[in-house]
Amino acid sequence: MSATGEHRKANRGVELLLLGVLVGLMVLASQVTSEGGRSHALATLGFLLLAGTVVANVLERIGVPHLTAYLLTGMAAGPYALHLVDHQTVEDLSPINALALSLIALAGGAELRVSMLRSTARSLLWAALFQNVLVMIAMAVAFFALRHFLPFAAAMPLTVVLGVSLLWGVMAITRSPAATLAVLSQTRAKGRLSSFTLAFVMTSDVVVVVLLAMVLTLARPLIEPGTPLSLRSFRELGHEVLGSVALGSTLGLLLAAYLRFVGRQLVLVFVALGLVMTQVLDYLRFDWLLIFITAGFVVQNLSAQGDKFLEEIERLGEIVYVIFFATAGAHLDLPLLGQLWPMALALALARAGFTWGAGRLASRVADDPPALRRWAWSGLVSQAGLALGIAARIQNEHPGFGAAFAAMAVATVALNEMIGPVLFKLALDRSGETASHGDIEESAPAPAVERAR
Amino acid sequence: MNALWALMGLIAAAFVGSVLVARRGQSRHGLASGSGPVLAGFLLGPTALGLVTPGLLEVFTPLAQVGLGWLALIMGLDYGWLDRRRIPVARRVGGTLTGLLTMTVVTAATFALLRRLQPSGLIWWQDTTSWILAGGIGAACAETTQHAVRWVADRVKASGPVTQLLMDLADADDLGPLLLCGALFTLQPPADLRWATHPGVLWAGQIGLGVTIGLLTALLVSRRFRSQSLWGVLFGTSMVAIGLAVRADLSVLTVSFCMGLGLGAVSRHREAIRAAVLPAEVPLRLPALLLAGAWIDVGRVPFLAWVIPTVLGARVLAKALVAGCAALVCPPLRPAGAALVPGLLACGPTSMSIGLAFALRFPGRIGDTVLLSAAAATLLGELVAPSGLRAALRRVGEASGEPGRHPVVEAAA
Repeated sequence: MSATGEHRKANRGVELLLLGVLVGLMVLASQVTSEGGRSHALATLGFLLLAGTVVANVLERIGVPHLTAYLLTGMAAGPYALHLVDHQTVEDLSPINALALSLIALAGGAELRVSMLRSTARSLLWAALFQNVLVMIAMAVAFFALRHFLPFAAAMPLTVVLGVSLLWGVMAITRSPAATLAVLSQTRAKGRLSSFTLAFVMTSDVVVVVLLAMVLTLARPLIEPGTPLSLRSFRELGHEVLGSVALGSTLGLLLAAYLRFVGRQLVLVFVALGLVMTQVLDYLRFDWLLIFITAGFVVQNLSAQGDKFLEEIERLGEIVYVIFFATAGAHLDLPLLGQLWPMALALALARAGFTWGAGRLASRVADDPPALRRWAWSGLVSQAGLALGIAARIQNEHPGFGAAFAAMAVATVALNEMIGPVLFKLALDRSGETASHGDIEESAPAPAVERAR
Repeated sequence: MNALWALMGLIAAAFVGSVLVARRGQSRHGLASGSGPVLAGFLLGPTALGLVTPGLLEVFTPLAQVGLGWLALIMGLDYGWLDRRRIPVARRVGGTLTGLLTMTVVTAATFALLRRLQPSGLIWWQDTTSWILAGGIGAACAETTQHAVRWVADRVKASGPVTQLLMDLADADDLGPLLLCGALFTLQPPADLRWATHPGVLWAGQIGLGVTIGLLTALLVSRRFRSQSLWGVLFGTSMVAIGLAVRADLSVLTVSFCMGLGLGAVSRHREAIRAAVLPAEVPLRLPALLLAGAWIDVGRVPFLAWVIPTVLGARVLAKALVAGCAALVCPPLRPAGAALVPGLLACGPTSMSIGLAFALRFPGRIGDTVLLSAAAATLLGELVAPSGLRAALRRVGEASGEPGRHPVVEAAA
């Protein structure tokens, strides 16, 4: 083995040892006092960040994406395994998650360049049609076909199952911008596949929101017979989408002006946006994810500040992704997954299969290059927050079956969250778009090192 | 005022702080000890305008703990260093002794007063509550802040061995109070502590915890230095240190300070780590001082009319002793004469941090009294220290009297 290899091995050994010390400290703290609450959240935040980073570093050797390692860390430390993190602590960390998600959305928007959208427009349009409409219908059919194996749907009248199947279909076409960005951030991939996936995942958020409103409108009379067809959802949708885009554009212009004329302490601006503005926008019933994606897009494409903006966000990238996904891992309901896994696996496999089929079909029609034909579907398997948000909304609007529906959704999303990033990273590696390890290290010097120089 | 507005206010304070630190000659802004945010917080708090209520402050407890922890971490990392110069061992020891002497005098005077005002019937060494209160006030009133020394030196364009000596002593006098805070916290163990532990063991435990996490950070940083993980590692380890300290009701200041000491002592990347964390000091200090000011509730402090004059009197006496001892040991200081005494009364960030830490750990009589005493000492220092320091530096012939920029400040900027 080369000297570098030996050195890396030794590094990993030391890091694992340090991880052991950290776990020991956390266990000791939980043994010494019985208090939890916010004080525990601080220690947990630090622990998840460090443990996630170390575990990602160790598992990187066997090709596991960092974000999967973060998820595994969260699951291991969470309330269903080692119990280093309890339910209350996970809840207490939700403002940090909002901050992380707002940064991810800003980064996602800023990664979208008009030139990139133009170059992939044909592929995007066909993929949008097949991956959204076709997969939604196919998943609704799959759910309908599997209804006898789903305890909560087995006894439902046919029309109700039809409505619920449509809801499942729309939930199934959500993707995870966070997972896509995390994998791209780790691999620093550049090429047609990464551009396409990024552009598709970011823009599909809007498509899903529109389709959700349509499906909710259509499904309600089926699920609740006698309920008239109401277009109220569309009015709300108009308010939400158009208002969010308008607000996002304004915010983007303000951010661009701030970068141009002040340009300092963006971290504080991000904290204000992530912790305060998300709360205000939630209260006003705007889609803050869409607002931040639009703002990022405006900064990138309507000003000369895009690169500076992205660089500032990327400095926080590692912290943000670790906290977000490790907390998501701790949040995963493992007993529920253990209970529902056969059906969750069936639905997840069906979704992956339809996504693959739709990807091949769309690529063929769009006459995509071979790498895209082969792998375009791989980045669309991951699911995370948006799917769970839709499931929670359905749970609120349909209390009769909503809880069981949401539980199945959580189990399926958990599987997609685990499988998706591995598939996408594999595809990037195979298509030759992943930057080499040396490139990654070269391109990411620590800010402190830069200043010290 | 709701929590969102208050949070925006804190972020705005941090922003203003960061803008100030980014400007050259930062020390020429504001008040000598940087106590402006304390006054602003006091005005917003329950005693004056009442815009910030105790319930609202509760929401910000974790933020306050994080702010205190990071400030202490920076103090520990920077301990024994002035800009890029290592402070000589003799001066570090001297600074530590001056801090401990002041703390002892103020603690003794306050303890005697408390025993007289509220006889507990306990033997004096068993009167834990009075010890915590008096010790807390002593720790909070021990420092001479280097911010004021820099501020004055900058204004009167002072430079020379005495200016340097005062800065060195002011930098080094935080060690004793910050370590002893931990000891005071252990005198009243948390109610839910599962293991009965001797206070001495708990004190050693928190120093050990801080140093261990500091060493762990140094190891992680050395292995991941050429990646973007530096901030992640620092943030993660500091959160673990702060969180564990808060959870076990230990002193966040002591644990984080020891973490900084450990990290600074062993890491070969100390300079780069300093470069990374030092710009965070002012953006953290301002909101922390603002919160500390808002936490002051004069109405809840018993025997106010007795405690505050005694504390301030004891502090003046202690600093007179320090000035006398320093003049004995260091002949160049002698020409400064009595002007040095008010000059040494400047205190600010460390005092208010200790006050806030006590207010968070011992809510009620103890916390309120320690915090108010820290604020009173800061205010007194603000009133008398700049003129005292100015006079002292002129008498030793190191101040030109012309407004201008001090070379040390220039270098720092």
